[in-house]
Parts: sequence; C-alpha cells; structure tokens
Amino acid sequence: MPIYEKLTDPLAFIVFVLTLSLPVLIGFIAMKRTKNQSDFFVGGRAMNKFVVALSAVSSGRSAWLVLGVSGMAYVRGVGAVWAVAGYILAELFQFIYVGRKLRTRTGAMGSITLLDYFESRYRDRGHLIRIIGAVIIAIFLTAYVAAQFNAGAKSLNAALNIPILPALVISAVLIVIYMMLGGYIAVAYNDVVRAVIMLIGLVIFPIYGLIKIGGFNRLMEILAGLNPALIDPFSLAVGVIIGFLGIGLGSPGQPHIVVRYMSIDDPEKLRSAAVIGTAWNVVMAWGAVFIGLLGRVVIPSVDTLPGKDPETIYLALSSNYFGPLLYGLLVGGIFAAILSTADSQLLVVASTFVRDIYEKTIKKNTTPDEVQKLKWGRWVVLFSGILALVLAYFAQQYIFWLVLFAWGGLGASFGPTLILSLYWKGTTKYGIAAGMITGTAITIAWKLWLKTPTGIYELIPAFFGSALTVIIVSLFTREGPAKHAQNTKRTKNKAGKPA
Amino acid sequence: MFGAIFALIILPVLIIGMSVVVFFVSRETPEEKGKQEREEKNDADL
Repeated sequence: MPIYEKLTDPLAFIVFVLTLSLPVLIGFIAMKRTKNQSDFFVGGRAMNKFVVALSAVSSGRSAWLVLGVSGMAYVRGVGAVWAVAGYILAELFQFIYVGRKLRTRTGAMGSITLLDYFESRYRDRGHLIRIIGAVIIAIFLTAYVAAQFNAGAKSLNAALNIPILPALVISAVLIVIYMMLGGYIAVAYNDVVRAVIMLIGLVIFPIYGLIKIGGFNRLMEILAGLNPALIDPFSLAVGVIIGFLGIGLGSPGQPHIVVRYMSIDDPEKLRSAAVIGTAWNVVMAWGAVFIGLLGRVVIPSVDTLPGKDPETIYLALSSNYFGPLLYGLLVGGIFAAILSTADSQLLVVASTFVRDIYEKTIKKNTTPDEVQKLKWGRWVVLFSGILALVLAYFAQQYIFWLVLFAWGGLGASFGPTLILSLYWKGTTKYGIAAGMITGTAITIAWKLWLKTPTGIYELIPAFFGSALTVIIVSLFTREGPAKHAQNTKRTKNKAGKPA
Repeated sequence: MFGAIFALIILPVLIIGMSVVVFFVSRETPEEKGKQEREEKNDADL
C-alpha cells in the first residue's frame, strides 16, 4: 500500500488539515500580545521557562529528528544514538552557560538580535560585525528556510497529490500568515503545540511498536539476527562517532536557537529550562532512534520503502501501524516539524533584514516609533517569506548547495565568537569579525576539499579554527588603556541611546 | 547486548541525570551574583 493512501480517508484528511491550520489560530491569539518590535522578535523577553525550553528544542531540529535520525537508525542501528547525544549535551550546557549570560547582557543592553549584542558589546560604531554577521545569516538562513519550504512542499505533494508549486505556496503562506500576526510569540506557542503532537509521534508511537513486537529484548534479538552490528553502538568507525558527537558544536552558533534564550522572562529560569529541554530532547531523540530500529524489523528491506529512501521509515511505519485518525495526526506532525524549524529561521532572517540591515545600518540616523518598527517587522516577514519561496522554486540546486554548509557555517561563525565574547574580556571587534569570516571559510573549504580525505566533519576544524582566529586577532588588536578609557568615556556620554 | 542496553537505556538516563546535576551546580553564589550585577550595570551603559 502506498504510504499516503490512508489520507484519502475523510477522517485522516480532516485531522491533517486541522493540524496544518492550527498555527494560524495561534497567530491570531499571539497578535494581541504583540505590541512592539521587542515583542515581535524576542517575545518582549517575557516567555516562561516551559515555552522557552520546548521552543528551543522543537525549533532546533524536530524535522531532522523525525526524518533524518529515524532514517539513520534504520540504516546504522543503535549507533545512531551518537548523532543525538552530542548535541543534547551541548544544548544542556548552552541553556545555562551561554543562554543565561547572553539573556542577562542583552536584557541590560536592550539588544533584540544577536548582532545587536555584538555591536553593543564592542561599541562597533562602524557596524563591521553587524554587516559581516548579517551577510552570513542572510545567505545561510534564507537558504535554510527555502530548503524547509521545499521539504514541506514535498510532504504536501506526497500527502495530497498537490503539484509542487502550489504546495510550496501553501507552505509559505501558512507560515507567513501567523508570523505576520504574532511574530515570535506565535512561533514559540506554535512550537509548544507541535511539541505535543511530537509527543504522540516520537513517544507513543515507539512504545506502541515495542509492545507490538514483543518488547525490548525481542527487538534486539531480531535486529541481531538481521545484522549483529545493528545492536552494537561501537560498530561505527571512531571518525564517524567523533563526527556525530561534533554535531553539537554547531548548536551555540544557530541564531534561531540562541534567540530563544534571549526571550525568557528571568535569566535564572534558564537553569530549570535546561532540565526541561534536556528531558524533552532525550525523549524525542531516543523516540526517533527506536522508530528507526522498529522500522528495520517491520520493513527490513530499504528497497520496499518509498523511493528506496530510509528517511521515509517514519511514514511507512506509521502507515503500517495506525488507523486514519492517528495517521492523519502523525503525517500532519511531520509537516508541523518542518514548519517549526522554518518559522524560527525565517524570523531571524526577517530580524536581520529589518533590524540589522535596514534600521541600524541604512536608516541609522532616523528614530522611528514602535508602531512603525512593528509594521516594518511584519512587512519584512512577508518579504523574506516571498524571497525564500522564490529561491525554493527557482534555485533548488543553489539552495541544496548552500544548505550543505549552513549548519556548520553558522555554527562555526557564531558559536566560538559568541562564547568567547561572553567569557573573555580580551576579545575585540576585529577578533570577532575575523572569527566569523574564518568559521565560514573553513567550513566551506573543508567540506569541498578535505572532508573526504580526512573523514572529519567540517564543523570540528572550523569551530576551533574560528576560536583560534578570534584569540590571535584579538591579542594583536587590543586597545591600550588610554584608548579604552577614551572609548568608554565617549560611550557613556552617549548613554540613553539604545543599541 | 550490553552495548545496546547502554546506548538505548542507560545513556539517556545518564544525560537527564546530568542535567539535574548541572541545575544544582550552576546556582550563582552571592559573589558571582555581585559580579553579574556589576557587569549588567556596565552593559546598560554601553
């Protein structure tokens, strides 16, 4: 049976469509709370710890978990846990040791975006860091959003047999409507609703499968019968395990994840958010691994999967196990997972265009009121959505190429620079700018020319290369005490003017 | 089999346990809080 055949059932179809349209309703509710630019881009720094924890986790990688990790576990077996363990540990420490400090400092500085923070932190009146950072974010994240639109369109195409172009338009319109209405608040609340849908998809689903198959031991016995390496987590090459664990190095540099920490109402609550987020991360990740393992037992040959693609195992298995109601919800859940990553990224793209490029660089000598700035935010969300849509349709090859570098490029450009800026007073704006450029450059060069011969994931050398560059350049460009005092005096004279 | 039990059952429990430990050890001491407040004041001047 084709995996989407059940969506022709009216009940499954209705549940699927309701799952898709729920975010728009949440957008209308969130609109009432969105009064200014800070509300629109960081939820007015008033989000509670549950929303921040679930939103940071959902927006980070829910689509990758549902499709990518389950597919990886299907092919590689138990060893897939290394792909999730690295980033979960990284995010645990990130919540507290990056998030808490960043939230405190951005709150005091009045910074709305990551680049606002860098500019204020280094008193960068020439906008050097803002311009370099904005270019990196605009290129990588716009490509990312376009790729998510494509993934959403492919799901719609497969689910409802809608041609790709209308499916792309529907994906983009669904996101842009609720984002224009409620901005960050709509995105964060939608992430929470999606987390509940994911609870069914990644918790109840594998538990049901385990019971059906005869329990954990039985699952292991069958997998070992298929191939003993499937139940040995150390059967992977050391380089592969290090590469998997290295995925976590990218987390602190993802602007759409980091902005979540900036939105919490009290920085101290990020400690509790870390526990909630880690537990949720673990539950989702191991749920995805179990789905892949169960899939390998139920559908042992990849040749029988749609398109012979292991990443369709979640759909194939849910189609195998469930009736129309749950199946409609689970298919809707995949689409929701894709959107939850896309909307968070699109909001960062919009904040980069409106705040970092237009307001702070092009129109820096004007002082628009809050209503005007909120209006800009809404229009730029529409503009960014259309831009990503056009790229998704007309530049698929180019988008695919850029997305290959996106996670590593963003992670290596912003991760080390952010951490060093928070923990080392000796960093300078030139060090940070050089670190951003180096992180991007090493990611691209390593991926193109050195990944195959060395077998090392590009993010690892790029991350440490960027950190080293920040340190070396900062040491060479440090201000003497006299210049520092002069700069501090000049800045204090300008007190009252926000970043 | 032990490898699978470690990876699928023990490891996730260890990670969640670690998050609880980090929660307790990351509480700010009065000295750190004072330092933080001074940094905040400094940042607010930027």
